[in-house]
Amino acid sequence: MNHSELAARFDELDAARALGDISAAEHVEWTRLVQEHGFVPDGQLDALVGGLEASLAPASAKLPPELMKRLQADTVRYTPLAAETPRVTTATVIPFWRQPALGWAAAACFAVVLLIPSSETPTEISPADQRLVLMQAEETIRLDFVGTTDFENLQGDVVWTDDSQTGFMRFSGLPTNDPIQAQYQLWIVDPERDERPVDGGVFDIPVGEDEVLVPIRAALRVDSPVAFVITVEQPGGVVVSKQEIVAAIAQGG
Amino acid sequence: MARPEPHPAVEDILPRVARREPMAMNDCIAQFGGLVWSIIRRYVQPDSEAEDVVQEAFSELWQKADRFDGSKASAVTFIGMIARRRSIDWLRRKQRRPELQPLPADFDQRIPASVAESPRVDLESLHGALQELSDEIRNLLQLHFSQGLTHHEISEQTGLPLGTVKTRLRRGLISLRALMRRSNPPLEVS
Repeated sequence: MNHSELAARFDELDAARALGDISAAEHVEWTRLVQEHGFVPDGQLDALVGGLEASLAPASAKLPPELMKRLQADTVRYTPLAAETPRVTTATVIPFWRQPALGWAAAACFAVVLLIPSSETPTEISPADQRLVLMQAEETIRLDFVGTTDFENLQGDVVWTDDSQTGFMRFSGLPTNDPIQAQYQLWIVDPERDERPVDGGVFDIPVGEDEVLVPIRAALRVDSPVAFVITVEQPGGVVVSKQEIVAAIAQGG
Repeated sequence: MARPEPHPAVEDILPRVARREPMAMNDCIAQFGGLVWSIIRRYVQPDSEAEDVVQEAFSELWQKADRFDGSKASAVTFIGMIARRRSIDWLRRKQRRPELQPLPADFDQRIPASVAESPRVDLESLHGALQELSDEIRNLLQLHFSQGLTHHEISEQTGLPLGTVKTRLRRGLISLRALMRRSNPPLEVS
């Protein structure tokens, strides 16, 4: 290929890059053209793609009110003060918007560290940022919780990755509990491991909190979870649940 | 219907975010939330996952607002770029589109630096350039961007082979760039 043919080919590959549909083989070719022939990626193609998205989006679109509230609550993260606030540990259940979170870039720096076994997971990054990082991982699963009859107002989800044995649950509408009377307990169902579900830890829903983020503390290694079950148990939890009160279930399709 | 370009004062929101001004992110969410939501929702379902991706998009905006250059692109163009990238990342994670192969870890996902000779991309000039494209290419772009159809879905709907859909979308984007450059030549620097 002469230079103009190479340039035309690079244009096509660079357009694929901007569109987000470049294949792995094409990426190898794109990289070779950049490194060996000095072609430069064109930011205007990215801008055109962004412009097309914005231009063809319906002008009347509005954020759902609940999402707007979540985003506005999140803005506490977007202040210089928040970035300088001392970091918190992940051990306590704290509403995620109250966390003096690190910025996204800082969270991303921990991305590799987060994918090592949980015993080595750093404890200084906020649960909200850990969850965001976790969701970037290809192997991460995410399931929605469905409340049982007495917990119909519950909304929530769980994210989990086998590699790092790390996960988080997020709830709204789960009734508050008196820890002296009862606590919620998570059970992770992994039929390939055992017929009995694995204890995922106990947690509380504090009074006055609309949404709560709960780190998962699996007592044993879980490699192929098919469901996550929330039960109501005695304070401190139980070793084997009778599942007399099941609050919610999240399971794969 | 094409989205109108927002009031000029809106163009200052991203620089304010970059300067970390109080309330700048609140204004950003209020002004651009609907746009981000409508773009991400075209690609990401169910809504609960789309909501997570919207949160990720605003986190990225917070981090990358200082890369916004108002002389090269309008704010909505920049926002559209971020929202699409987050959507594509989600699709990769879900492997919903087989043609979207995971990229190597060292692939540069940053927004490339502005190119000196490129004219500014705003919705008005983009709309003008779109009208000059052939009906077929414009239709393909609308199916992809406006309706969020995958290449497979476009192929099924139009009867065009999958490879042709992919190639024409790419060349359509390149043609659009050429039309923009012809219609908005950069200023000569003496």
